[in-house]
Parts: sequence; structure tokens; C-alpha cells
Amino acid sequence: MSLPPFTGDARFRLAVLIVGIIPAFALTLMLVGRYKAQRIQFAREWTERGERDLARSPRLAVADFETALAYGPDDASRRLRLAEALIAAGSPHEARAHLLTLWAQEPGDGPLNLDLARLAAAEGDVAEATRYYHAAIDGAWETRGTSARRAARLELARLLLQKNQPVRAQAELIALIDDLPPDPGLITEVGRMLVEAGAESRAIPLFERTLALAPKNALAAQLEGEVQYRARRYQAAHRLLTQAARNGAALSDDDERMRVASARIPELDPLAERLTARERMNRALDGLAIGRLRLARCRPGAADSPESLQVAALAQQADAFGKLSRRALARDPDQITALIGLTAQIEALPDSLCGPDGADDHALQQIAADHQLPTR
Amino acid sequence: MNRRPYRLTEEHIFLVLAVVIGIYSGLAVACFRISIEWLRLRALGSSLVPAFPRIVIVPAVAGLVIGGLVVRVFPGARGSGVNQTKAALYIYDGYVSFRTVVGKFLTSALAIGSGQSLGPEDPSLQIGAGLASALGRRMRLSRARLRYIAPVGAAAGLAAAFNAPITAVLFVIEEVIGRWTAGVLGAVVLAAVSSVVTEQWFLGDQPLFRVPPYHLEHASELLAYAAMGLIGGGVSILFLKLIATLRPRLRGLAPWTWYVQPAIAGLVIGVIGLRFPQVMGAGYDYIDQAMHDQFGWRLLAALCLIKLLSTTASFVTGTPGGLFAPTLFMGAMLGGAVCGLERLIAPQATGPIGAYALVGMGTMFAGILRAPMTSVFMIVEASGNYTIILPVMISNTVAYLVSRQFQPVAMFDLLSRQDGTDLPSMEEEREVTLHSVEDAMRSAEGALLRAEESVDTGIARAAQVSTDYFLVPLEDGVWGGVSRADLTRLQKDGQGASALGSAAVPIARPYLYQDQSIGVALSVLRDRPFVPVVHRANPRRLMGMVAADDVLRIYRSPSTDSNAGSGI
Repeated sequence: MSLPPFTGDARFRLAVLIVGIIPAFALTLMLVGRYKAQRIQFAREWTERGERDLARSPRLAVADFETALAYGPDDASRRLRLAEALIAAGSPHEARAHLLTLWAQEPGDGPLNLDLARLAAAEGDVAEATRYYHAAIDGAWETRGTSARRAARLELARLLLQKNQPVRAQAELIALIDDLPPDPGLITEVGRMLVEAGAESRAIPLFERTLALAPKNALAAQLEGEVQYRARRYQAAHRLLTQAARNGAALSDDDERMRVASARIPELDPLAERLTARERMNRALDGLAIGRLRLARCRPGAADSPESLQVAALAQQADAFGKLSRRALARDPDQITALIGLTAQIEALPDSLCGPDGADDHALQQIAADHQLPTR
Repeated sequence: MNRRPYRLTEEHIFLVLAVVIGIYSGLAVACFRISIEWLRLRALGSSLVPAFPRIVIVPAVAGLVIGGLVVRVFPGARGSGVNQTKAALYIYDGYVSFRTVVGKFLTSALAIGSGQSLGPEDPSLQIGAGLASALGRRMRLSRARLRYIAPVGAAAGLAAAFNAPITAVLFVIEEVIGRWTAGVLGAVVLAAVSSVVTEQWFLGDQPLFRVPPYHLEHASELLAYAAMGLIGGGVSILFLKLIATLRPRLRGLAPWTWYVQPAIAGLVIGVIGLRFPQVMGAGYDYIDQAMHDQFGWRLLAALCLIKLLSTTASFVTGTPGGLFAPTLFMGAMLGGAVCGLERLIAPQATGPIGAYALVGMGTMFAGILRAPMTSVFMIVEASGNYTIILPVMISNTVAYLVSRQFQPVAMFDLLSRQDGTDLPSMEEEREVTLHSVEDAMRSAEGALLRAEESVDTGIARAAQVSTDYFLVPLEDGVWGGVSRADLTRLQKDGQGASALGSAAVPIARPYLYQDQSIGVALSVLRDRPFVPVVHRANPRRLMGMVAADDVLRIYRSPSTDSNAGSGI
């Protein structure tokens, strides 16, 4: 059907309607301006209230932030604050949904990914936590990005260690090493975690860096001393552990034993390199003397028990060696080797049987372990 | 070179006017939303949880004002507004009084702003329709055009309210106009788009719901969505039955009670609001909270049922306001509750609650408002998330089927019948079996003669069958027709040896195809005794033939009568 053309009158009416849009637009613009300003004001007021309430009552703060969000639903920082208030109020599940909404809009946001990572970690989901931690590390941070990324990586490494994944933790810590600021506390902490992750050799340079920055740092000296001891560098271990003690470190019994033992091991080790035969014999005899003292402390209980029989047999052997003259021993290197083996067996007797080790006992045990001497 | 001057026809004017309607509707809806908020702030304060005694007094006092305004000043403002728009299309030639627009704006804003459990979408739809009607009258459009102007405005109003043009267009087509009419579709789309653009210019382009990322955790989750459809269907039936029972009863009370009914509803809602403030108003803020896992499943289930009761109270008392938002609220709570329950049963196979809340909204929309297509696309459009479509389709379909099974009459049809107007039911129209030519056509077996055969042979073959008309294939896919009487006459005239090809009268095209409606068959038949039904890919292949009697036989059959609507 062909429609009739419209008259000039109709065109005029249409023009009036179109022109009428302008005042209608202006009126709406004015109203909307006021409306938006009011909403912004309410959103700000309720946010401020939430911030005030957050410290004393997270639950109240949640209600405040929810109201603020009703007036400014598109403000990501406000939703993030609500999520954080929910976490503080013990509602991580509720917080997670808000964070995921924000994440959908800003998947590369650093703080957001960090919050999500922490939630996943709290729920025990290591895979998801790792994913979010990495997103936080690679993500955008408005301020202090470098330190925030470093802290996120450190947190991830801590989680991995806690979840018994030392190899993955090592990888995260190694990634941190080159980027560490001259902060002795932080460097020592990374070193400590590397030790925990089983990368002791990588930890040593970090402790040394700390000691270069803060020579009186007792913790770094203590930790490096322990590492050096385990690495059989006894002189360095002794120096560092002594330095730690001098600088106020509260050494544990084990550390103290290590400190003393690390001084005694070089003196007692009969299998050390470049010893004369006489020196070797003297050390073997000194070791036996220490061993006999240990045997004397042993309380094996009933006379016919296996422990009692073992102690008696070892004592008999020790007595037999004690009767040998130095000259006879010096003539027979095999006897010296047997003597060293006997000492190792005596020192291997458990503490429950013979009381706690002394520092010399500990040194002899370490020597037996270093040379892989048979203890049975 | 002479150029023909460009002539502006009514069709052009209609399309330009659709854009203008969209802009005015967008502006009106933006102002409407601001008014609701302004009234809420003035009446209930800025807190999401209004303080006592305001929370009880305000809805009741506002209800009294609304009752007076609706009974005395704006009687056309009662209810949701969807049926009034349909009535404008089917009864009043597109007329919606401007007074109704003003009344709807004021009373709905007051009702929703004071905490009545209703939403702003349906009133926006009616405001858009009313504005369109006023502008159409101002433009002195023809009656035919003016009739369709109300749905155009309705689409614009709804699109602006939902910030979702596709949903608005689909709803108006599915629920108001009822058919895809090419002449109106363009105007509806233009109006919806221009209104959304206008509204977004003022209030921003954020989607209605901020949904956390969705993914299907496990295929078995679809079972949970199907279960949600079942429950949603059940809740929809409950809501529809309550409206069906209570609305006419309250309307049947003494007229003086009409003044106080909204106030009583307001009082009830205020008292409920003391414990459950979430059910007051449209509730979009709480939908957002439900999507973000802020409520336990028990509270979600309780909120769904309490919202159902409070919306029933508001709606059956004639308080102006819409059902869309309460429906979505109930759906979100229901979806959240189902998610919470599923977490207890299969925590590893449960997706995010936002997805369940979103699907729940579509489910209740399909169950209560019974616009299945709109319910699916609304969720996709409102969330901006296409991946949700699979669970939405499953849950919505189940809810729609359950609701239709136990409550045959859809919400808007129910309301129009209660109001004494016989508006066409779009759902029932969708249900009507469309008869095709295939149903009406008779077999061509025995009625097909060959062109090279003689008239005598034709008579001999005709003697073996009862049909009176015969078809003969001629050249170029043209079919010829010859009657038994013609054949006999030709034989008597001594032309028994002549070929049937020359004796048959060519039947003018168009012919019919099996899939065409019998309405088309009637228009093609006109005064011809019969028309061949041919194959679409090969017009030389005869599938059957149709005569006027065949079409009438279909219309007279009892199965056709059963399509003619059903009672409440």
C-alpha cells in the first residue's frame, strides 16, 4: 500500500517534537546531575562510616559498605573494601563472590588477585592460590608495585613450604634473590626459607650479604653457622655460631652443641687428611676415651636385655683396646681403624640408654657421619 | 537531470517518530527512576535497612495517598500496565490518556519508593506506551498506525527500564503484539534502541546485574538447574493462584475499601520489613547481594516466599507497580537457595551462586510471566554472559511447562479476564495448531492424467475413481485441469481421440506447497475449483490437490474448535 505524502503541517509538528527534546534533555540533565551528586555523597558517607566501623566491628562495616555499594555499585575499590570487611568479619566465602566479580572486570589487578590467592590458600586450594599469587605478582599495582609483588611471591613461597612443596617454593625464592632490596631482615628471611626449602647452598650468599650489610645480625650468623656446620665447614660454623652468640642470639641446645662440636671436630677427627700416623693414633685414643666415658654413663637395665649385652660387649672391646700399648697400636694401622670404628659404635648408642650427648660425643657422632663409619 | 522531490510518507514519519518516542521514553524513565530513589530517600532514609518506626509507618501512609489517587484521580494507573498497553492496541486504537501516564509515574514512584513490593519496569512500559500514544495523536497518525504506536512506546519504556533493548523488543513482540509484524518491528527496534541510548547517556551503560564469572562446574549441575525449574514452576503456580484468588475478591469488596487496601498492604509489608527489609521496594540491591553469596540458603528460600507474599499483598490491592522486579527477586533468591542446597549435597559439582541466582531469575520469569523467549534472552542480555544460556534454557523450559500444566491461564491473560476485557492471549495463540495445506489436501492418486493420452483413455481411467477433477502436466511445469464433465462433453463432441494436453485448461500460477497455511490456500484458491499442490524443488511433481471444500473441512473439524481458548 502506498502511503500518502505528509503535509507541511505534519513536518512542522514533527519538527516541534524534535525541538522539544532539547528542553526535556536539559531538565533531565539537571535532575540526573543532582541525583548522581546525591548518590556519590551517600556512597562516600557510607564508605567513610565503613572505614570507621571496620576497626571496631567488621560486621557493622560490612553493612556500611553494602549500603555504600548500593549507591555506587560500579566503584571497584568500594567492592574490594566490602570484600575485605567480609574477610575481617569471618565471611571469606561471601567475600570471594565480590572479589570474583571484580576479577571478571579486572583480571590483572594485583591487590585483587592477592586477596583471592589468600582466600584460596585459607581454603587449602594450593593450585588456585598459586594461580592467583602468580597473577598478583604479574598484575598491576597502583603504588609500590615492586615491594607488593615481592611480598606476594614471599607469601606464595611460605604457603608452598607450609604445604610441603619445597621444590616449587625454591623456584619462587630463587626468582626473588636478584630482586631483593638491601633489607637485612628480608634477605635473612629469604635465606631462612631457602634453607627450609632445601637450597642451603643458595642461602649462604644471602646470609653473607646480610652480614655485610649488618655485621651484628645475630640471626643471619646463626643460620649461616648451622648451614656451614651441615656443610662440614666446621671452622666457619664455629666462627659464625660464636659470633651469633656474641651478638645476642639465643642459641638453642642444638646450636650450642654445634658451636662447641664445630670447634672439637677438627681436633678429634682421626680420619682428617694430612695427619701423621702418630697424630691419627692419638686422636683415635682420645676418641675412645670419650667413648668409654659415655659407656660409663650407660644404664642398660636388666642384665640379660639386648641393650645390656650390647653395652657389655662394647665395654669389653674398649677395655681390650685400652690394654694395648701405644707402640703396639702404632705398629698396626688396622687396630687404629678398628678402634675408630668401635668409638663410632659407642657414640651411636641411643641417648635413652646412655643419657644426653656432650659436645665431644656430638663431635664424634658428626665425625662418624662425615666418614660414613659403620655404627653396628 | 530532473530529480524527483523526496516525499515524506507516513511510513517515514512513523519510523522517525519511533526514534523520537524512544528518546522521550528514555528521558521519562530516567526521571521515573530518579523519582523513586528521591522518594525512597525522603521517606525511608539512605540506609538499606530503614529504621523503626519509619519502616512501618511510611508504606502505610503512602498507601493511603496512593489509594486516594488511584480511586479518585488516576484510575488508569492501577496494576502493572502491560494489559493496559495491550488494551490500547486491541481495544482503544492506540489510545492511552496522558493523565494515565502522569498518574502511573506519580503513584508507582510513590509506591515503590515507600517500600511496596513492586518494580518499576511495567510502569515504565506503560509510561512509554502513553507517551507514544500522546505523540502519535499529536502527529495525527492514521488509525492503523496509531494502533501500533503504544507497543512501540512500550518497548522503549521497558528497554530503558531494563537497560536491555533485545529483552524489551522480544517482550513486546511476544506478549503485547503477539506476532512478528514487519511493519512494526522496525519501529519497535528503533524506539527501544534510542531509549536505551538516551537512558545510558544519563545513567550509564552498566548491565542491570553484576554477575561473578560463570562456568559449568560439572555436567551434573544441569540436573540441579532442571530441579530449579521444577521448584520455580511450583512457586510460580503458587503466586499465580494467589493472584487469581485474592485479586477478584479484594476488588469485589465495598468500593470504600479500595482507598485503604494499598495502605493495609503497606502496613503488612512494613511489619515484614522489620525482620526482612530485603523484600521492600524493587530489591535490586539485594539481588546483587544474593548473587554475591551474602545470604545462607535458608534465608534465601525464606526471602523467596516472603517476597511472594508481600508482592501478592501489594499487587492484589491495586497498588500501581510492576511484577518484573519482584519476579526477578524471587528467582534470584530461589536460585541462590538451590545453589546452597546443592553445595550441601555435592560441593565439588556446584558452580558459583551468581549463576544460580541469574538462572533462577529467568526461571521465575518464565514460570510467572510466561514469556519463554524473553526470559532466556533477558538473562543473557542483563548479565552480558552468553555461556549461561544452556542452564537458563533448561530451567526456564521446565518452569514454563510446569506452570502451564497446572495454571493454564498466563498472568496477563488472567488479569485481563479478571478486569473484564477480552484481550487476545498470546500464549493461547502460540498454542493454536496452525493447519497447513498438507492437512487439507486430497491425494492426487487417480486424478493424474497424462497429456499425451486421449480423451477416451482419460474417461476410461476416470471411471475407476470417484474424483471429479483431473490434473494434466503441461509444458514448463504448468498444470492443466479438466473435469469429468468436460471429458464427457469432449467425447460427445467427437473429440475422443484428441490429446488430453490440448483439452486441459492451464491452471494459472501460483500453486500451493504442502507446508503453506490453509489461510494461504484460501487466498490462492479464490474462485478456482481446485489448485494443485506441488513439490517445492520440482514443480512437475504433484503432491496432491486442494479444493475450497477441503479447507472448510479442516475448519469444521472438532480439533480446530478445541484451539479456541480456555477458561481461567
